[in-house]
Amino acid sequence: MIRAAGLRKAYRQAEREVRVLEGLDLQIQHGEFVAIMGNSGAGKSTLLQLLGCLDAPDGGEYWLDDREVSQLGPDMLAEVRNRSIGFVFQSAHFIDYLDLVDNVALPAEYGPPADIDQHRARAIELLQRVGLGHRLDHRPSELSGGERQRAAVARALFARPRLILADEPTGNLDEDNTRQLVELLNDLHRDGITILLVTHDPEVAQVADRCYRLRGGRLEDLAA
Amino acid sequence: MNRWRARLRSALQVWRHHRVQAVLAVLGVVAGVSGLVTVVAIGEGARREFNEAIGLMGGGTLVVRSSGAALPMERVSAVRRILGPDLNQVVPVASAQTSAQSSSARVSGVRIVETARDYQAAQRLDVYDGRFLSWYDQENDSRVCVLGWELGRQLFPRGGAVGQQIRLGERIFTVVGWLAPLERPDIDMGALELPELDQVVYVPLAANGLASARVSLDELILRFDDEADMIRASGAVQRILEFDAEGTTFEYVVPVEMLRQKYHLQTVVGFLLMGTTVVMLVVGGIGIMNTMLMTVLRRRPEIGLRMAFGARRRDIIEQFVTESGLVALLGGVVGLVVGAVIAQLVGWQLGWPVAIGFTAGLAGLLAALAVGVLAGAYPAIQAAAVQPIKTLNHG
Repeated sequence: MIRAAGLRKAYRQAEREVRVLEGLDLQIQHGEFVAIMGNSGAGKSTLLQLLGCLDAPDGGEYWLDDREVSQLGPDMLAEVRNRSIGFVFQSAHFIDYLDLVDNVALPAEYGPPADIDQHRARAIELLQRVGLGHRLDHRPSELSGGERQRAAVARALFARPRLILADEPTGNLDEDNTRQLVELLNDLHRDGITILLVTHDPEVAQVADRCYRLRGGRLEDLAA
Repeated sequence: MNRWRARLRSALQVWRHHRVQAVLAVLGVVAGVSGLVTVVAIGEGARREFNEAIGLMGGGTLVVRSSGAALPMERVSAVRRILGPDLNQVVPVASAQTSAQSSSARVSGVRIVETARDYQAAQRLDVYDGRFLSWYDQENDSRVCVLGWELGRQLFPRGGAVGQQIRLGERIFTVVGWLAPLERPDIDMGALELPELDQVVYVPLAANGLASARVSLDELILRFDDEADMIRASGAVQRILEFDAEGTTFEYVVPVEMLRQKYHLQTVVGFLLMGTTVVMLVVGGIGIMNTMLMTVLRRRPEIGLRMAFGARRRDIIEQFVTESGLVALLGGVVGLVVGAVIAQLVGWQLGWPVAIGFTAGLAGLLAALAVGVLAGAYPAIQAAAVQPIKTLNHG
C-alpha cells in the first residue's frame, strides 16, 4: 500500500537548513495498522505531510497503491488526497458555518459530481456508525472533544479511502474518549482499512500491528 | 456546474453565518452602486428627454419673438415668399390675456392664442372632440375657438363643450374643438411653453382684434426640414424681419439648442458624479478586500482542512473569489434599490427627468460584481498559499 524509500525533506530556517527527514524508508501493507512515535520536533508532522500528499519530498520515492505519487503534480496530489486518504488531526477542526452532516460530507465538494442528497445520506450513515446519530443537526462547536474526534473519523471515512492518516488523534482527549477512539480505529482496521497513526502515547501505539519511532530523520522499528 | 453550485452554496452559508461582517464589508459597494445607478439614471433620463423633445418638435424649429412694436404681418408673408420651398411651415402667433365665460362658469386670466391651422401640427396637438382651426376660419374671420383640455373642463365641467358658445372678453365665440390632454412628458421646450397649452383658447388669427393690432404678431414659429436647413436660412430670416424695423427687438430662440445646452449640463454633472462614484466603488473594494484578508487569516484551519480533503489551490481561490463576488453582488442589489430611490429624489428635487432602466441596473450589478471579484482576488491567492499541516496542527 505504502512504499517510501530514501525520503528526504529539509527546511530553511533563518539562513540555516534544517534536515527533518534523512533517507527515511517505510513499507506498509494493505490493511495494516502502523503506529509512529517520536519526540516533538522529530519530524512526525513532516512525514505525515509527505505521506498525506500535502507536500512533495526533496528526494526519495513514495509509492501509494503502486503509483509513484512523489512524481505527481499538485492537482493530481489533490485528487489522491480526496479519493485515497482520510485525515484525522489532533485538533478536530471543523467548519463553523456548516452543520455536522455538511462537515462530514466536505470531501464530496472536491470529488466526482454527485447528488447532494446522496452525500448527506452517506454522511448521516457514517455519523451513525461512530455513535453520533443523535447529533446530526448540531453545529461542530456544540460537540464535546470526544464527539468531535469521532466526527472527524466519520469525515475521514467519507470518500471510502483505503488509508487513514491519524495525527495525534487522542492528544486532546481524556482516558474514556481515548479508549473509545482507539476502539473505533481498531474497528476500521478490522474492516480492512490501512491505518497510519502518529502518537505520543505508548498505550495507544500498542494497538497497532507494528510500531516505529522517528529519530534523526529515520524510522526505528520498536519491535526489533 | 456542480462545482460552482457547491461554491455558491458554501459562500451563502459563510455570509449567513457572518452577517455583520458581510454588512460592514459591502457598505462602500452599496454607496458606490447607488451613486452609479443615480448617475446613469440621470444621464439616461436626459438623453431620453432630449430625443423625445427632438422627435416632438423636430430639430429644424426656429422661434422668433418680438417685443416693443409688434411683428408686422407683411414681413411674415415676405419670409414665406423668399424662403419658399425650404420652409415647411410658418405659424404666426399672437397672444393676450382675457377672461372666458360659458353658461356655467367664468375663468379669468385665460391665455388667448391667435394663430393659424398649422399651429396644431407644429405643436403636435391632439383633438379630443371637434376639430382644430382651419383655413376657412381664418379666411372668413370666423368667430370660432378651440379649447385646451383644462380650460374646457373648467368652462364645461359636465363636458359637451363643442357647439357651445363662450364669451372671450367682449365677444362671443363658438367652440369648434376641444383638445385632448397633453400626454407628452412635461418638458420645457423653451419658447414653446408647453406646460401652458392645456389652459389656452385658440382663435383664428384674423378673427381677433383682442390681443393686439390686427396684423401684428408677437411670435413666429418657423419649421424647416432639419436643423441644418434652419441654420442656413436663419440669416435670411433675420435680414427680412429686421429690415427697417426700428423700435422692435427680436429674439431668436432655437429650442433644439436650448435642449442641447440643458442636456450638456446634465451630462457634465453626470460625469462629475461618475468620478465620485468610481472613488466610492474603489473604497468599497478596499472594504471588501480588508474583510476578506481578515477572513483568510481567521479561516486558515478551514483552508488547511479543505486542502487535506482534496481542494486544489484553484478550488480555494475560486471559493474566496465567489464569496467576495457574492457579497459584493448582494451589496449591489441593495445599492440598486437605494440608487433608484436617490435618483427619484434627485429628479423630484431638481426637476430633472430620470430613467431607471435596465442599463442603470445592469451597470450597477456588473460594477459590484467586478469590484467584488477584483477585491477578492488577492486575499484568495493568499488563502491558496496556506500550508495545510501547519494550520491544522497548531491552529
